[in-house]
Amino acid sequence: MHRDSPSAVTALLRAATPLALMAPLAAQALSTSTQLSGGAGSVTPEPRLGVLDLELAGETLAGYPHFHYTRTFEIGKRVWMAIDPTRYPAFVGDTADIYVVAHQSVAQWIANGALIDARGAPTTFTFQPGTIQANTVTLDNGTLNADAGDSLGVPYDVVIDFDQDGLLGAGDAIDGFYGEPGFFVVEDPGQPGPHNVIETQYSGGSFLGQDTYYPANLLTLGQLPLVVISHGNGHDYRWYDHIGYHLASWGCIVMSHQNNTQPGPEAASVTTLTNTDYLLSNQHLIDNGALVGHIDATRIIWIGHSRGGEGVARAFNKVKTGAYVPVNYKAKDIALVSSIAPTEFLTVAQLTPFDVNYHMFVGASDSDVNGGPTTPIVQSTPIYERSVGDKTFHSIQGAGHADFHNQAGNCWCTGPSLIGKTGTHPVVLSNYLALIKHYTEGNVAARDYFERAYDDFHSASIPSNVIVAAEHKDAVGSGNFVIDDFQTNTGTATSSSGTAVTATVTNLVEALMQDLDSSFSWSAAVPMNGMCRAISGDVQRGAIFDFTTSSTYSVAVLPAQKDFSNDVALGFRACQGTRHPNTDSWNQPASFGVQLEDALGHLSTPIDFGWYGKLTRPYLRTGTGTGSGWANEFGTVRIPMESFTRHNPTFDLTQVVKIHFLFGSVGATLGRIGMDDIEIIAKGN
Amino acid sequence: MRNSRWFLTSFAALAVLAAAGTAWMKAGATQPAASSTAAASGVRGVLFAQPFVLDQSYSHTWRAEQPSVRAGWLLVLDVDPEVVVPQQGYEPVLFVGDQTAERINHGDGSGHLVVIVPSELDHERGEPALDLLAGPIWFGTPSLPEQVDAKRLAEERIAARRAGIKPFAAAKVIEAKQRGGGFIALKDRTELERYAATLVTTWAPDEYDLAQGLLQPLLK
Repeated sequence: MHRDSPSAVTALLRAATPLALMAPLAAQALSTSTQLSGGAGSVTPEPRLGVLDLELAGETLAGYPHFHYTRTFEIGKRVWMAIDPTRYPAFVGDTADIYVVAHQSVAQWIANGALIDARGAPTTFTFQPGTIQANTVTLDNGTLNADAGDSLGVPYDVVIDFDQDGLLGAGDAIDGFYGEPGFFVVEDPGQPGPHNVIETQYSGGSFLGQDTYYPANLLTLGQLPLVVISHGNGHDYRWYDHIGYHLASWGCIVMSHQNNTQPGPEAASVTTLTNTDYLLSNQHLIDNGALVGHIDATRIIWIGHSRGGEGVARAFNKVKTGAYVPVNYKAKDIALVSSIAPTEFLTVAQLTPFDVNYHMFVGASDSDVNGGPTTPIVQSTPIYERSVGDKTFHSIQGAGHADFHNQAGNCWCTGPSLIGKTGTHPVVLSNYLALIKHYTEGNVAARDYFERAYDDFHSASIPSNVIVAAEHKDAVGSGNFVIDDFQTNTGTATSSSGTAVTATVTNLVEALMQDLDSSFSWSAAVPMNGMCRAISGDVQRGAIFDFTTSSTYSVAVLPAQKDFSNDVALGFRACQGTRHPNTDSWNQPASFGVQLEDALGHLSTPIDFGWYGKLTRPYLRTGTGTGSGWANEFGTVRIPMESFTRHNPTFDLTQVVKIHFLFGSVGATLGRIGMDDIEIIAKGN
Repeated sequence: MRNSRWFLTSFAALAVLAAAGTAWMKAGATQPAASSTAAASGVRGVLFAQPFVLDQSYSHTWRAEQPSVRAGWLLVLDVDPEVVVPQQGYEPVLFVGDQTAERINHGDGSGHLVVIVPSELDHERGEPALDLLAGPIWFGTPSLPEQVDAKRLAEERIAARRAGIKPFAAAKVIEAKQRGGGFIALKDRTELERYAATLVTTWAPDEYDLAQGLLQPLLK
């Protein structure tokens, strides 16, 4: 979970004070605003119980910073806790009982501090000097209960019971006291949920054929989100059983409808709109009224495939702009719009998704809507780029256009390492469930599926050979501070936030992310080669450069934004440049280093973000020019802010003046890298 | 997009006859230009022709103007299966005389395409005003039917004429009309669509499942 990091003040309190006196002293510390900054923010003992609210649960990393404090663990996966003894020296030498307990609210803890370990017994551990590795403790090997019914995530707290009295009390440390629980254990979202499913097919008339799925025990479930599926051209509304059954088994009502795609996406958008309204207006006619009272019309998800994928984006645009006025719902009721390999026939203005939570799947092997630079019609990604809501993107290597539905036949795919429906569907199902649970129920545990790097965390149902490039960006206005998104101050020496940029990387260019020559062949004259992120009329810009030796790209931080100590992470997205000689030479997933500099000139230890997950090597598909490699695949990187102080407590996160990206010396030794959206992720995101 | 044989043929013709027509494939192009890509080989014949009339009108979404439809033709066409393989990019628009046709099935397996062609009624002749003996039937420039307006249709018609596309032989059209029989009077678009689905089961039995999708039980 994310919260304030501890400061030296509490460590000093612990070191100098008998545990029984912790609470009053802590209260004094609060009242006098004593702050001894170790650069990692501050945490004060909870004034009533005197406990320390820390991040504890997480996973190990194979390299520095060696530990990743995480929120969610899938059933069957190991759960660890760790303490960095350089930040908590007062813990060193103490022997404590470490508990994994059912999550409780603050009020519940105050009422009853008894520690009952969910594993049967606590783990006793003596904290060691030195490294976080020496203070990493296995909490569970994947056996904790994850059954949350049709929700995702059983919440737990981790407690370090220093006085070994079996009670949460003064001086104890807890992960999960305030806000979020310490961690969640979730069922695999790629597996069916707990409900049996009823499927029913009917028609309300022309272009109102519907295939609807709902939990068999709907009567007991109250109001559920409505998922509407709009198929693609030449497809059929009955080809989405995999999504219908899956989501209904997890507590959704799913309706896939006849979609008027052949005239074009404008017509398709109309059938998305009218079918949604038709279902909401005619529930009493379906299965003897089984749905009546169970559809929550304020939680609607639109999923569209291909022309239908363009159609759902267009449909939202029309509702948002008032070009279409639905009878039974409003724009704010659309919780999520997801486009699967959407076409892009319509104009930039018509296909702007505005602030809706937006998601997109594309298949890098798609031979129909192929994502190539030859025509905007087959470039899906500019629609994603235009969204200013929360947005998530998955590019699946080896997936063809028809792999997203469940009808046998031509996969409309080309390229190496094809994965078919068996590889594609688990990606689709698990991510849809996570997104829908988050955006319709506010499920926190589900966030990790799209917030963390794909290689770091994804459904165990996804075959290990499947390669996915994933992006997530919080909505504009969500509180994150954008250091450089390259949209303004378009010279290479100034960030969009107005600060200085210095770089020793070569061939640095900031420009519209549009591949201008209709070819993926590498050409120095087209620096944005492979960037199918914008078409004529778009504004999405980014940076791209290359390196063959140790190089840097550094951006200064506004003085007003220098305090990173209460922020969650440093985020950015990056990609490898397709078919560039450096990319071809490196020929593997890539990463690079990230380092912060504080006002005293201290440098944090460089972090190779590859330990969390690397940037995919562009899919080795040929065609559309010479060479191998398809469109550039961005991956979002989020480096937890606290990790910059690992084993380095003197680094001052409250006084950050520069962010250094290190190339050649950390991670890939050479490469061609595109970058965008460098931002500070605020608490709560 | 799929590079089908048909597309290659089309582009070869395009290169010879109307280089400007390539504009639709270029990045940034939003509307393909009418050209002589209207492939004479696309439609091989008319197999079935039946006039219909409706009590309630509907909008023809396969035209930019979305005209109101109360009558027209139900046709079964013999087509080149390569031309009608469904895809997500631009598909060749099917024209019948001065109107765009709505496809009910795909036809890429059987080569038989069931279509609805809106038309006013010619009360004197007692059939739709769109004269199948006078109007050619052809696949025009790949485009979105919903973006085809009267001006564009006229351009396509000119391009088709220049490409030598003519109406089918009278004997074949008469035979198709005889096979179709007289007017069928239906209540509305829904009944028309369901009737067309039965034609799919007859003429394109490989698309039986598609037809069943159109024939789901109606909610009452």
